[in-house]
Amino acid sequence: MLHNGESVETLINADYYNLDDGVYTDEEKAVRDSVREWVDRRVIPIIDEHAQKATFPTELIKEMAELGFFGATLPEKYGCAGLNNIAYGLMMQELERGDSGVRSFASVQSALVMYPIYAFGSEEQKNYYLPKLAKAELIGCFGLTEPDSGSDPGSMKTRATKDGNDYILNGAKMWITNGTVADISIVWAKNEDEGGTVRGFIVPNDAKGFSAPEMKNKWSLRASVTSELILQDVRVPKEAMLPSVKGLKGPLSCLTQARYGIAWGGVGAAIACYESALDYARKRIQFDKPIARFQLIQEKLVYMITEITKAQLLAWRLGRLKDEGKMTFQQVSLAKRNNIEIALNIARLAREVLGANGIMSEYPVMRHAMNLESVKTYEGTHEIHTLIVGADITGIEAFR
Amino acid sequence: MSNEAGNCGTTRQFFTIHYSLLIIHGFGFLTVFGTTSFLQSSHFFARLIILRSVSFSKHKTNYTMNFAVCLNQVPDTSARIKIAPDSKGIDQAGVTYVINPYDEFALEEALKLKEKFGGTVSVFSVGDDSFQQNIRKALAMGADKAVLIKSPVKDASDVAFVLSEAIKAHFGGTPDAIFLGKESTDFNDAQVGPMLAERFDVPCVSVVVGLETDGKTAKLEREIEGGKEIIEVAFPFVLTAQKGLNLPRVPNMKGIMAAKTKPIETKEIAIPSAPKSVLLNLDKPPQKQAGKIVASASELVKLLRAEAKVI
Repeated sequence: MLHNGESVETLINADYYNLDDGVYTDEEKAVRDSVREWVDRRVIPIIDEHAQKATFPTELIKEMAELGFFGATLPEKYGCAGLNNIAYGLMMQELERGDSGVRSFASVQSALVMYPIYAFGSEEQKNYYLPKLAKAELIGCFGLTEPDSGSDPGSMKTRATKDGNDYILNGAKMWITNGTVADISIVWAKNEDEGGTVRGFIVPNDAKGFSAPEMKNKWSLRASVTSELILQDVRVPKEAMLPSVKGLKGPLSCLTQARYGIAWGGVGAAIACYESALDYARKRIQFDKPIARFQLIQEKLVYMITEITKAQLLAWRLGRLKDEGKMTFQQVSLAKRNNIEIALNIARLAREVLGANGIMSEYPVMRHAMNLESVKTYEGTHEIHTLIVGADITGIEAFR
Repeated sequence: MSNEAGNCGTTRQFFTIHYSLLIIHGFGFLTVFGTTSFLQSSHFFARLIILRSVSFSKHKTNYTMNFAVCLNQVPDTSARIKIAPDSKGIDQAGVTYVINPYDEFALEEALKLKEKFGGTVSVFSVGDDSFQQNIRKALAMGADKAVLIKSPVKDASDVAFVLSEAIKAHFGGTPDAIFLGKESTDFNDAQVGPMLAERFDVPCVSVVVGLETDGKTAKLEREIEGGKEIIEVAFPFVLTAQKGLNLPRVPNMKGIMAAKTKPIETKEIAIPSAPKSVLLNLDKPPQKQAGKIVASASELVKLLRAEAKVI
């Protein structure tokens, strides 16, 4: 091992605290290894070209469905695998080791579309939608954020008004992952019939008055589709409403699910950057020595493995708490906030270790660095997560 | 019979030399019939061989098939191998074990046939409980059952013996085919496949890179120097897999969950005779010496003659 001074060749993966030796179960490792193998085989060889061209690798969607990546924690009766939360987290880690865009696709389908239908849907909605979403016969997206409502979703302007047996939806959503490629949208709107209480609706994207133009020219998450959703007098039957939740806790509980996966995803992006930097530092010769020989490079690499190890342990403990039903949303905020910040720091440091090569597409670090700039802000900004934990420990809310 | 051999002569377009052999592999005797035809083409050539087991005509014609796959585990190719202090094995510290890659090709091929014809795939391993995780992977990929044989095997002959006993007991005789890798990437003996075939008295086709079958006979493709060899063989047979046969599937999430409840039977089979070979010692190859730069051609010739003694 690297730390006994004998060899610099054996630290092949970022498992410094031997989590593979008894921390993750065999089943959790089997899930991780399977996703890892698939990502190595199918994502990494093609993802750079998609990022360069700003296209999502749609050719992977069916395979992801066949492998069981969508709604992986939901029960078998809906066509899902029933994984525990650590296995699901390791899946997100490995997908994001490939690319944040691929992980985002799976996160949205699983945590933001399938989860609300599973948690708040009627039995008819669950039986109809969940198996189709698991098989990717339907692609979903999640519409909460609006042009003027980001961190403050309570200020949303999208409205639902009752008209006989239908609801009529009006409003605009923004920054919606998968919007343009989706078949259905989970749209959150204030129901004027209930004094403006927030309710969720399953809206078919081909409904009259619905459009989802793609937001082009991003410098981040380029291998991912980001869209606006525009709803102009979109008429849906009242059965399209998710019956079992009222108020902001509906969409916010979905975000807790998604943020949980993101906390793991950050570890994956960080591992990709760390491994790239470590490998480069051992091979790049300057002053007749590998640059890994130099203290300033070692300091960066040590920062990386230290923060990755801490982030792995945070994510793991959070997963155990989630499986035991004891996880709080504030704990999720802490993990998402930390893990994405360190992943972004690691990506930037890896770019420095790689020097000029760090900006080139042969290496994954610049793509991850650019992706993580989005991940730091989406699903609750870094600042809002700070204030969520701040409110939790002081008992004083600092954001309203 | 020579007619059968002749019929197979039109299956490929790129033969330069094309001859068919009919080998009857029955109860301990072999008969070889001569060549039949020659065709012209570029630098490829392929041989066509037909292996028929004597019991062919009696072999079952329903298409549900039961396959055995022998699965070994080997150190991950990225592991750094250190020899243990007693020089009889390797230092296990930090070494992770994976399914022998050639056995994974064998498993994938058996799974594809099971999906085509229906039936079962059973996995057989010889080793200790450290095999459980890799056996679970095979079950997650789609194998139905597994047998872990915990016998103190000493050499390839012991391995083939306990495997054949376990396979016979499991299937109540000979399965429709036995699949395994052409060799394990640890010791690279490449002996277990042929030995197993001998124990079951069935043909063995080794280093296979392609398989086509209608469920009664199989056309197996082998890579040979400068070309391909196509062998037709009746079920049952032993196949040893080479890279290129297929791309093993990644276990899906449902497969991983289902694998938890699939049975792994463990058994110990006594080995009746002393091992036929004994491992004496493991040694690392000597460290490479740095190259020598010489001043002139004449000095090089002198050194090659006097020092290296190669001319």
